[in-house]
Amino acid sequence: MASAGSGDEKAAAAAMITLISSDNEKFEVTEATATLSQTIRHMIEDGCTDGGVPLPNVTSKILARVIEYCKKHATAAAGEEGSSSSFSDAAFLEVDRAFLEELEEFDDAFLEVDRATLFDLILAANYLDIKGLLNLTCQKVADSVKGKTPEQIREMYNIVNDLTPEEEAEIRRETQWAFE
Amino acid sequence: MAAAARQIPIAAAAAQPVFPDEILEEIFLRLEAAADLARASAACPSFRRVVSARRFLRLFRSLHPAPLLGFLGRMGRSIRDDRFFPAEPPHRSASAARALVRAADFTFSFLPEPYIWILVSVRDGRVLLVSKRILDSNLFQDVVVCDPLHRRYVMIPPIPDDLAPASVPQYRMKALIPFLAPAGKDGDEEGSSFRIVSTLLFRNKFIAFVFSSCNQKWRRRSITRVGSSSFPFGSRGFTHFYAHGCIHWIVDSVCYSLMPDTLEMKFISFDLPPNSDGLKCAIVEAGEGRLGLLTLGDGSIDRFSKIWGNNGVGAEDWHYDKTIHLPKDCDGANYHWRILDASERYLPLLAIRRVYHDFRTPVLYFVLDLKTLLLERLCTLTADNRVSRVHLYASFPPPFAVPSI
Repeated sequence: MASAGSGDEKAAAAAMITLISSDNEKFEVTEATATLSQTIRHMIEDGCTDGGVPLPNVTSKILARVIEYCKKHATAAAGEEGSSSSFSDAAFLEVDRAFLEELEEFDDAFLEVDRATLFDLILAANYLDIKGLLNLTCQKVADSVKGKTPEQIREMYNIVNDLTPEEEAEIRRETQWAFE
Repeated sequence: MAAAARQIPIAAAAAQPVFPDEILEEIFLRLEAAADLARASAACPSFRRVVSARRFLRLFRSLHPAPLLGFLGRMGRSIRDDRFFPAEPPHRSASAARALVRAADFTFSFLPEPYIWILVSVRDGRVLLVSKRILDSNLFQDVVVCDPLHRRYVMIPPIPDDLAPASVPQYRMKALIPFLAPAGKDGDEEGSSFRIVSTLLFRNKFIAFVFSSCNQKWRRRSITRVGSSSFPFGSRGFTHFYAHGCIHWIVDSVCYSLMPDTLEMKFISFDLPPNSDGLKCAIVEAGEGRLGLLTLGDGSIDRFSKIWGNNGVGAEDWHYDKTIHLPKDCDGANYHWRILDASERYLPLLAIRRVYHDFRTPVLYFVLDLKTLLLERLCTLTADNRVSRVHLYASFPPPFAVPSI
């Protein structure tokens, strides 16, 4: 993977972007890493990234995690571009598969966070418009809701039930089949 | 830093929704089952608001296939015996199927003249019925499409006279039962459009009439075989399969295919794999644009596939994909299996024990998911009220279904 993507990486290394978290911490990242965020990609295209990109909605703790994700996946994207232009012989396919497996393992480990962090990651992924990260984190929440009752969902996510008894009875009537 | 993190109103003691609606949508769209969606919507008002929005439901339905809830079929000989057979436990759609039964009208009492209609085709929550009168006149006069869950119907205009063929002796003509087809390129995002394909077969001419709900018009396409060669028909009636927009039928060990809704209707034929029994085969879609062939053996199904290009030219031979092993009865013996029909997504199968038959012998209805190749039991009937022609019914259960007409 490294050999396939190294040309791109060298080119990108010239362009570094500074991201500034809500608590004023500065993070230097390559353009390839930063542009996984559509929000930042647009800022770069508009030429308004000199002096750093302030991200008032993202704390340094979360931004560090987001950058970790983008770095890994930017390398993956570069690797994919490299291999698609080359022969699709067995050796390349083998490398691709091993790399995809590694990426999957990375994603699994990346999601091993407490609920508050997971929610912050979702908010950051949404704000920065990082499709892969939004998909990954939202899927994690969706998976945690599968097969659960409304009571369990409320408890899991500290949701105060302010449905009136009438509303609740109506919902139950409409969706009785989901509780059988 | 920790204090800053807490500024975002995450769960802790917050009565208000944690996320803006757009993120809740992203999460709920990733739930697979409608039941999960229903239970989540009962957690709090904001969840309910997001889940019941029309835009959200449209997105959800476009991402997830409608669950299979049962089938329509005829239990006796009379058309009044057309019934809905819901999925039964342990099938995961059993409770949603019961909800459908409570909410829908499968006796079609909402149609004008309720007793003249014969059910002929089912797709995407719509049911196509034709008037008994077509049996007398051969050309389709009265056709109705209805949505039994929302009790709506639409009468289909008759095929205009100028499209109908000049009079032909009836013995030289064979009218195929009309069927519902996907909207295809005519379709809209809402999934509220459909097509009806109705066909007439002559010795050397094939005419297809295609109705599109978008422009409410019938189109006519036809193909004539040159010279004296005629279209091949088996002696055992005409069972056809609809896959990749083509009508396929099998006579002996040859498959014939016609694309009814193209300007230049093409007719092609190709051999089945060696030693296949044409009566125990189904033509299906096999993913990635390939045409699939399922052949029923003793206790197993073999799947073959071949390239199916735009012009339907199948130069390549069948490629053997895999064998699906069918369950055995309680004594470890193979059931007697029958292929009942096929849709894009599912293949319904009937299983009956080979030993000891009486009228109470159970007849098991299975469904093979053509994408996942998982076989699931849908329901069980008894030998004396078995259904031999089934129309699978897949739909979102209420309140997630929207009127299909």
